[in-house]
Amino acid sequence: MHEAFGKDAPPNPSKILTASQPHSLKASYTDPPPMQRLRFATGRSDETRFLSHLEMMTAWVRALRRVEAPLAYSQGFHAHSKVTFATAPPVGEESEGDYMDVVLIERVVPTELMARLQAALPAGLHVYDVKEVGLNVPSLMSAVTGFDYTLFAAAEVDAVEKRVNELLAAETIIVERKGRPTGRRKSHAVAHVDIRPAIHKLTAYATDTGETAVDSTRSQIAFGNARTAVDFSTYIANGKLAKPREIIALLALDPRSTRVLKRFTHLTNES
Amino acid sequence: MSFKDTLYNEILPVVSKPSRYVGAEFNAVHKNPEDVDLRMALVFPDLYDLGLGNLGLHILYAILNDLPWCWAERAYAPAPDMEAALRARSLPLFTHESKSPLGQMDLIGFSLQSELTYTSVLNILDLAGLPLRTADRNGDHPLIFAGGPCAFNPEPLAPFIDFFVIGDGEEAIVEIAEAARAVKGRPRTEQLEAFAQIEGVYVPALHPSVDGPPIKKRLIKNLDKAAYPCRQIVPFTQQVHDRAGIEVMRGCTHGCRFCQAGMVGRPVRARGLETLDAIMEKTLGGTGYEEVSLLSLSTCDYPWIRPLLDQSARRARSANAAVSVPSLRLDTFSVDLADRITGVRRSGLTFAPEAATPRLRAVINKWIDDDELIEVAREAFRRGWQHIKCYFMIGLPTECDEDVEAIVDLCRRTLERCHAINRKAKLFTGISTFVPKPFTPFQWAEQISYDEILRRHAILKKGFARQPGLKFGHHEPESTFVEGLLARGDRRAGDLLEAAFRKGARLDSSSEYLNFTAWRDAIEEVGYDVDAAFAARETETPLPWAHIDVGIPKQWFQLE
Repeated sequence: MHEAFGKDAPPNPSKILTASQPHSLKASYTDPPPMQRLRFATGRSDETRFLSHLEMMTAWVRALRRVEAPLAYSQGFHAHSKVTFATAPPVGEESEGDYMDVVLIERVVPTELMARLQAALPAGLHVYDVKEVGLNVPSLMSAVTGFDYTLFAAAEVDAVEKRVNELLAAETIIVERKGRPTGRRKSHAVAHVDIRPAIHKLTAYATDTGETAVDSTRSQIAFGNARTAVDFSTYIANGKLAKPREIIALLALDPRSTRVLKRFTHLTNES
Repeated sequence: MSFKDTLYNEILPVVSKPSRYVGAEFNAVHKNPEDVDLRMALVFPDLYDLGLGNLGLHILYAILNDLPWCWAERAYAPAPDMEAALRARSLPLFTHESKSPLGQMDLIGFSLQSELTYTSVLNILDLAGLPLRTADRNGDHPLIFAGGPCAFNPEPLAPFIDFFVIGDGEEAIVEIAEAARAVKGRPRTEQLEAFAQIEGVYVPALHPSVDGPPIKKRLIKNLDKAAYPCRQIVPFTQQVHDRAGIEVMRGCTHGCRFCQAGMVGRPVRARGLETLDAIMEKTLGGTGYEEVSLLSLSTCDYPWIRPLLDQSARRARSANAAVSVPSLRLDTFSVDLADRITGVRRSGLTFAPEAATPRLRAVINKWIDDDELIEVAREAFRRGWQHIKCYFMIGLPTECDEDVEAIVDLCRRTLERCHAINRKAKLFTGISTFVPKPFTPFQWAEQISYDEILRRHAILKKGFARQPGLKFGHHEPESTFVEGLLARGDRRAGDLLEAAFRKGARLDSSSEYLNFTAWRDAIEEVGYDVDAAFAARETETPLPWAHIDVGIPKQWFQLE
C-alpha cells in the first residue's frame, strides 16, 4: 500500500514536485497490479430501493471493505476503488438481476469472498452468485445489451392488456427525452426517440395467475397490492433502450404506486 | 394499508432524498419489541444529513442497545416535504428502525447541539402528537429528556422538557434507562422524582427557580474505561462529514474566552494510545469507512500526538483508509503532522485565528502571530495543498472597525505571500459572529445587533471584493440573531420559542429553511425584549444558569 511516507522512505530530491502540482506520494512507488476480476450477481430490495446510485455504490464498497476484500484503487488525487456496475438504477427501482465487477490486487476464492460479503451487507442489498472474468473484458456498462423487467401495478389487467396490444401493434412509439446540456447549449435539448424497436417483449397478466416469464427463485419481494404484472424486455436498438418509466407512462399506469423490478441484465457473450 | 406500506409506497417515492428516512443502515440495531422492557428514541433535532455525523448520539445508541432489555431507536427532523406529507395524512413522526410512531416510546431523548435546533425540538414533539408543555403531559405520554452542550443553559426549553442531563452522558444514560424501567407505569410525579435522584439530572418542575442546590454536571473521569461504539452506524447518504469520528480527548486547556465547549468540558481527559488503537482498528473493520477523523477540541494538543499519528497512519494504511484532524494549531509543527496523516486525500487545511489584531487576541486569550499564520500557510502550499480555510469572528468584546479591517488585511497579506509559491493558491474565510455563551468569561458581554452585523459584513465584503483567490464566507446574520435570543435566555424564552414555532419556524440551523419572519412576528407577539437579551449584563445580576455547576466557580469567570 502507501509505504512512501513515514520513516522508511526519505523523499528523493529529484522526485519532490514543485508546489504547482499535487504532492503525489506515488512518485516513488507503484500501484500493485490487478490480479483478479470478479463479477457478482447482485440485487436490491425493500428500503434500499430508495438509495441513489452513488449511495448504493458507497454501500457496496464499504461492505467490501468490511470483509477486507483486497480492492484495487485507481491512481490520482482522489483514489477510488475499482468497483463498477452495469447501470445506474433510478431511485425506486428494485432488482434481482444486476451485476457488479470488482477488481482485486490479490487472488481470492470467489465463493469464499461472496459468503463473507453476504454476511456483511446492510439489509436490502443482495449478492446471489459470483464468477471470475478476464481482467480485460469490456466494462459492464459497455457490455449491456438489454434488460428484463417486471412491473407490478394496481390497475386492472384488462385495461392494461388492451394498452399492451395497442403498443405492440404500433410501428413506432415516440417518446421525448431530455438530452444533457453540451458545450454552448446550456439547456436540456429535447430529443424524440422511437423506442418501438427496443421493445422486445411486453405481456400483461393478473398477478394471481402465477407464473412469470422469468424464473423468480431469487425474488424476495412481496407485492401485496398489485393486481397486474407486466413483463417487458428491452434490447438495444439504434443505440437506445426503452425505460421502465416510459413503459409505465405508455401503459397509463400510476408511476408512484407501480413497482419496478429488474429481473435480468443481458450482457454480450454472457450467459 | 399499514403505516409502513403508506410510507414506502406513497410517501418515500415523492420526497427528496428518500434514503434518509429508511433506517436500514449497516449497524442500525433492530430488536423485537416483545423482547425488551424499555423502548427509547434518541432524537437529533435536525435533518438526518446533519445529525448522523454526531458522535455523541452514536455513543449513547450503542450503550443503550447493549442493554438486553432496552431498545433505542433514532429519529430526526423531517425535511419540509416529508413533514407536509405526514401532516397531510395525519400521520405521526416515526422512529427510523421500526417506523413506530414516536409517541409510542417510553422515553424520548433530544441531543441539543445548537440553539438553532430548539424550534425543531418543538416541531418534533408536535409531529409526535404530544402536548408541547410538560404541564400538559402526564403518565400516558413518553418522558421527554434532553442532553448535550446546550443543556448547560436548559432554561429556554425548561417548559417543554421533563428533565435534562448535564455533562457526560455515558454513565448517566444507563442510570436513566434503569430508573425509567423501574418506574414504568407509575404516576408522572413519582417518575420525575426518581430521575431527580440521579446525579446531573435537572428536573425543571421540581426546581422552580434558580435558587436551591446546584446541579452538578456528570464527569467521566477515565475515558479509557468509558463505553465506545466501534460499530458505528454507516450512513448511505453522503454526509457533511462522511467519515468515522474517533474521540481523542474531552475538554480543552486553552481557555479562549469565548469558547463554551472548552470551558464546560474541563478538566481535560484524554484516551490512551492503546485504547485509541483498538478503537480505530475495530471501527475501520466494523464500518468500512474510508476515513477516520481524530476528534477533539484541539487534537494537536494531545499529549502523545506524534505516536498517535504514527499508529493511526499505520492502522489506516492497512485498511486503505485516511486519517484526518478537524482543525490545526497554528504552527508549522501542525502542518508537518497534517501532511503525515492525510496522505493523498486532501481536504483543505483549516485554521481558526479568530482575531486579526494583537490587541483583540489578548482580549479573547487566543494568541497567534501573524507571521506564524503566513509561514504555516506558505508551508501548506509548499507541500501541495491547493487551498486553506481560516475562521474569524466578528462582534467580539471591545472590537472596533480597525479589528475588522485587519481581518481583510491579514488574509490579503497571507495570500500574497502564498501566491509566490502557488499562483493558484486560494484562501477561504469563514466569518462567524460572536454570541456570548453561558459558562464563559464573556457570558456577561454584549452581543452586536443585527444591523451592526450587516455593517461589519459590508466592511469585509468591500475589503474582499476583487481579490483573486480570496473567498468571503460568513454565517447568516439571521442565524446569529436567533442564536443570541436563546443562548442566554431564561424560561421566558420558552414562550418566544413556542410562538416562533407556531408561526412556522423550524430547521433554523439551515439558512435555506430559517424563517426570519416567523421569529420577528413571534418577538412582537410575545413582547420579547431583544435589546435586553443582547445587552451586556452586570456581573452581579443573577444568571439563568446559575443553578448548574460545571466545576468552575463564578469568580474565576469574573476574573477572566
